[in-house]
Amino acid sequence: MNENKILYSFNYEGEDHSLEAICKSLKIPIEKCSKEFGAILIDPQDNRYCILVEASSLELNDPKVFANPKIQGFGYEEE
Amino acid sequence: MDKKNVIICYKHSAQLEANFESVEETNLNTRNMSIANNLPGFSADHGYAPVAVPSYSDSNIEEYQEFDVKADMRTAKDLTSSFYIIRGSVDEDKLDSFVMAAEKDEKIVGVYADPVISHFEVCPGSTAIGLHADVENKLGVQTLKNCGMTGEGVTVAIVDSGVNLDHLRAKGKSPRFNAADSWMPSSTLPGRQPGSMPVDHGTMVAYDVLIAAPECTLIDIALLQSRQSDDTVMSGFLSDAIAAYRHLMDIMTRDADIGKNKSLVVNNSWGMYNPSWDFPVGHSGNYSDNSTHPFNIIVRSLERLGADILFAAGNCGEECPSSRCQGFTASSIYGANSSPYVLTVAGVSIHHDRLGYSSIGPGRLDRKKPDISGYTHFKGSGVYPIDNGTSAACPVIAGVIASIRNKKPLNLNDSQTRPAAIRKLITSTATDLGISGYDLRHGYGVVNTQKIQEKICPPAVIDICDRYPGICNFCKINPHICDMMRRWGFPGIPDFSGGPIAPLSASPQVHSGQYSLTAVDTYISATGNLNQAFQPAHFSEEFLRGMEFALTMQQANPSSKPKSVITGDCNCHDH
Repeated sequence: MNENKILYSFNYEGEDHSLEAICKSLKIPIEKCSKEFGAILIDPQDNRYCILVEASSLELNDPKVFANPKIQGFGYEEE
Repeated sequence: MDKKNVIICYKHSAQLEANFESVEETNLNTRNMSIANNLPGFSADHGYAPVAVPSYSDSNIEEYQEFDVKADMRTAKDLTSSFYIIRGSVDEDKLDSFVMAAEKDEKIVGVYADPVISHFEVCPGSTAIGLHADVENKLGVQTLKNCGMTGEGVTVAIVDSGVNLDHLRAKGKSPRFNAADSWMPSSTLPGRQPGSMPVDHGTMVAYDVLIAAPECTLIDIALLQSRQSDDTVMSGFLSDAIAAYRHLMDIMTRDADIGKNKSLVVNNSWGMYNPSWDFPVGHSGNYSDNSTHPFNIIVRSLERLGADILFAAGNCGEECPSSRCQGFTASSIYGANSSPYVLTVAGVSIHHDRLGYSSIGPGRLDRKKPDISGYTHFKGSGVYPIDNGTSAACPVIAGVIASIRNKKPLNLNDSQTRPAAIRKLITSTATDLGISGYDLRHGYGVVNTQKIQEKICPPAVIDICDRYPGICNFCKINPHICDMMRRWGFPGIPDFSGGPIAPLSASPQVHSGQYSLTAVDTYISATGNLNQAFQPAHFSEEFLRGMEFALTMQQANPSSKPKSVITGDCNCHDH
């Protein structure tokens, strides 16, 4: 479950795009980074990546930290 | 100057009775409303037939506890005991003086507000309004099909709780499916496969896409796979959506087979219901209002690759929001649901009544949201009693876009086929609803597939000399034929093909307003000889009658749209 995990987004110019290399460059313990999520390139034009990290290992006032809210389908709505 | 609508209740008088006796009066201007001339700022509504209201006294209050405002004054047993209601409007700046004057007028019993009344909003719990077949009719699915707009070859991603193909087939659909391009998060329960997911929300969404695009190819992006103990619906996390969108980006960036339609329509009937699930607005990590949030960025990236992305507006409309909104209804179109790179869909019934729970703009990222309204709250998929919410409206529009992509497949080198152009096509052709022009409840209005189809499938141009080479020769013999063609607005002669084929000698009363020039073909083939068909002695009078009849039908039915335009040089140059 991703309930206690938050998103961490950043620009990355390194040649090694593996999760291990990225977490190492960000100084985030690899065991705190979600292997299932991996390192996702969200904007190829800007080399912007995103990883999913346990909330306890990050400072929430870090500008690279982003919310990971719950999402739900819009319906079926009952009275 | 704003006006207030009011009702004035007058005591009975002989003048009133004489003036308002005749309710069959058709010349409203002769109805004497001068009784109210002393009231400042008041304009009587001459179109409103004054109503006699039975009076009541304290002694028989039970009998007259409810005013019957439909009481027929002609049958009132005692007119002298009736009151008379007239209505009109008062300039708002004269309201106080109006009321004071009315209070002093001994003829007046009272002055009352005359509020606007309207139907109740469609809310959760309202019964279904129409069937999926009604939505098909509204969308003109058959007409779209005639134009080749079926979604064939177009991929539609159902980003939802999963699709169950067996259920769709059981409901009469014949879904095409691409399992290889489907996707599930790693947290999906073992044993589940795309296309065979439990029958739930995503299956409803898939069904509703297939209404307008029955031949599209579905891919199952089973994003919403979690159900916690306190949830009644499938849910997920935004991080799952990021992973799903990366998968869709990979589809868009791989080399496509030559000739294959590269279009991808992405339906998202989900969102964040409640801002309490988010970082607060103003926090650098907030999602709802922050275009730099990773998901809002990846949505833009996918759109940039050419995907048509749709998001449901949400079900937090102010009139009767979903309980999951927990009272948050203001500007409830959050995050990617309000992205400028997507089409945001509100919900209306087939009668064009807005759902009371369809989220109202402005959007958090792009203020001018929603963009368009789609049909919802109908009996359709059978997954639930009603396909409802903006959840159903969104895939209805997604299906329309898939059908458009049949004719306008994505070509990143052609700006007219980029997603922004498709969004513009949808919004610029919409039927306006609500207040005139764009509004934050309906967007630009409800989707209008007829106008879309007219833009996508313009009338075919037929060169009349190519089609009927004998006519050119005949024109040399009988110039009246060319005169006839010129009267039809030559160089264009409508071909109302699609209607009943009428023998040229048929009585005009037989036909409903469509006349087909294929009748000419029919006649020609019946005679078996083109040259003979155009012999003046055998053909000319009937052909002229046929042309006259078709012209008459066109003039009588100006709203009928020609399916093709016949042009050609009726000066009959040599071909």
